[in-house]
Amino acid sequence: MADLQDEQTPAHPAYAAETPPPGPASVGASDPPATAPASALDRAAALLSLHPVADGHNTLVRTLRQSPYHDIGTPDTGVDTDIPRLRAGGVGAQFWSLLPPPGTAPGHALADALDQIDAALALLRRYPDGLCLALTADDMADARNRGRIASFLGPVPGSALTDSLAALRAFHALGVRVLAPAGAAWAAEDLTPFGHEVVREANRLGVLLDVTGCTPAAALRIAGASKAPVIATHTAADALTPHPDNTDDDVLLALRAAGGLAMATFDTGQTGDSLHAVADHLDHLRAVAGPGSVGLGASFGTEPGTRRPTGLTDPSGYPRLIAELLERGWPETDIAQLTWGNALRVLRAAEFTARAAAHRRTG
Amino acid sequence: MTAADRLDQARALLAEHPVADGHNDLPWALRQQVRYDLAQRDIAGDTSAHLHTDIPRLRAGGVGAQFWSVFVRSDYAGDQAVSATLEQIDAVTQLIDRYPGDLARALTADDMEAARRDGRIASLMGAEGGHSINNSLATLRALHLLGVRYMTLTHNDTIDWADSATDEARHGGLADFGREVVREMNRIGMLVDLSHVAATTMRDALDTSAAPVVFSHSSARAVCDHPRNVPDDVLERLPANGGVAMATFVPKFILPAAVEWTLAADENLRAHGFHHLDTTPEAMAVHRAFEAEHPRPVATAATVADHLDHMRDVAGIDHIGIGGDYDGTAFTPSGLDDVAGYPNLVAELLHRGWSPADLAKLTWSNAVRVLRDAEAVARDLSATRGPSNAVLHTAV
Repeated sequence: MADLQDEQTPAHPAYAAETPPPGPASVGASDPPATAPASALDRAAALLSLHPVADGHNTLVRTLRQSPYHDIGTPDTGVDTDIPRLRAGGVGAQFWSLLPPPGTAPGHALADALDQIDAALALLRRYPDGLCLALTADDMADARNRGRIASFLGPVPGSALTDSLAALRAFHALGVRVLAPAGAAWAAEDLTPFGHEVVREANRLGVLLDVTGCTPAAALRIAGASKAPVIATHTAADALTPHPDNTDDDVLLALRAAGGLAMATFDTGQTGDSLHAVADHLDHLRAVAGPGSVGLGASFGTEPGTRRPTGLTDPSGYPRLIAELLERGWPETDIAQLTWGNALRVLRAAEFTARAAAHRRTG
Repeated sequence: MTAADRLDQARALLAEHPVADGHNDLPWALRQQVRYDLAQRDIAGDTSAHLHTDIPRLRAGGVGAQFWSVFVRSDYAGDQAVSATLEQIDAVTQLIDRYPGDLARALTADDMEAARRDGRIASLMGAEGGHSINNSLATLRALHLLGVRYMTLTHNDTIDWADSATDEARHGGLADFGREVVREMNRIGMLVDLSHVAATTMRDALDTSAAPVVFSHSSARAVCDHPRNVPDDVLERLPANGGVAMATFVPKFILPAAVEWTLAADENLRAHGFHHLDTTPEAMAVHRAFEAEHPRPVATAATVADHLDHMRDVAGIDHIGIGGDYDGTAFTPSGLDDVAGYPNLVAELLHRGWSPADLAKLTWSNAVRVLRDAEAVARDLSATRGPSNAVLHTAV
């Protein structure tokens, strides 16, 4: 881990470079100038045009709940995510998180999830030229071919199942493709028998399991029980920054073994507060989980004032991060897997598992 | 024409224009009896020991479309009510998947006609009570996406935005949010069902709804004065609204003597510690013991026909239908004992001089039309109006 650069700060000389991000990325004009020489940034932009970002976690839906008429068709400082900045950042697919805001009262998880699903679907209907509902890996590729951002629904929280597989099937029927067991009683320390049934049914339906926030023991149990690869939609390396939502090396190794995916967040609480810190986490995730099991799940979609790594304050920052990774020597093939390929592969694997189990009756 | 001839003719008519029934509680019965273990109640065979409904009897009864109720108890609230409703919807989906040769998932009037042409039973869903949406229009829209095509505004209990026929009035009909629920149902194409609601709620809903309404299982209050039935002034408004009142077969609503008897029987169940709608074997045993001591007044097909004659006189032939409430009632009329019984009702109506054209409207066409009209209204409204973001404002 010699290349870990824990001491990097925004004062790092690389931040002094003046090359602005290409094209419309300048909407993130309040960001510091790009860190990398033009050549790296150009290469990053070129890579992203071929292999866009498939981001695992954005909480815009819940952030917009109180302002349903907010327009994400134009850049607006009210929230960090809008279609121009997603495009500027090279985002080609987005998982729209349906996790409840912290402090949601118990007994309202299902109501909250249905509310967020409704809001997400309304958002997609409102921006048909920018966003398009995606249910499958094929939809993801298809949206990219049509110049739209493939929009997956999920993760929903496991507690929203209200201990009923019928709710899981309803979520799936409504379009949800990721379930996050963390916080559910059936996935606390161990996986209960009902938890095993949830995993089985999620596999049968083709719903991905998101182990972000699970205890390592529960994450390992879920990864072990699941016939499809599991993912962590917004995590970082626990070895670098201990945090309940970060993933320890044991779990990263399990993800590597099962072809799963650890998607790196840009939440400063989980990573540290610079672009370099995020890159450090990505280096660690890649080193431990392998280049085939690392992805991006920035957790944008937050209100102004949320602390963000310098240089990565909104989705238009991805090219700067990719440039940094290129500077650090990531091969372009690894970058292509990081941004797009791994997510696509995991979705396809989950669909394959679902097809293989389709003959089974509902549980 | 002999009675046997009439029954033959009834069957022949139903082969052309089958019954589109507004309300059947098979899903709840499956939940109560076997926790949705469909293998334990294989409706491809004879389930008459446990249920009013199975496929052979639906076929014998000439049923061509069924609104399966996704009812949940009205003492459920919040996530529990919604979760149970999702389980009911899930059960109907599993039934349709399990019997694809006999049941066809139907979401539209066209689906109903297509199922009839295929010789399958169009299977629609109706939610029974606004408690199922937990005061959330997002949940209402989710139920619609999941296939629910009507919602009864209340069940037996008054809810936060609508008065029930069988509970205390709190709103004088529909509260403001209730009117918004009706408008949103109009916009998305979910039929507003006014069975179970207070007469004040019926009138408010008729004032508010841009689409035809239904009564999925209610008869005529003028024939049997029970709050579950529809008063004449409301029936009279159906021609202007385009809606359909579907006569139910529940003896305790349609036969005055049975109304009295039921009050006593319910009291007896409660005295033994059961909910009066409990259909578990234990509760039924208590109920049967009561019946042994107090002979139960028996309704017949003629009782239902009396209601239909009246409803036809008041609302008109284009605004009536059938909603048996099978598997949602402990007792059924003699001759209409289970879902195989509809031909007996049609034969009775033939005997009373109803024409084949009238009967086609009663059994099939009116129900298809009301759904088709609601779809047209939804297309119109959704072209000019987005989803409602209204929320319930409770008094502070």
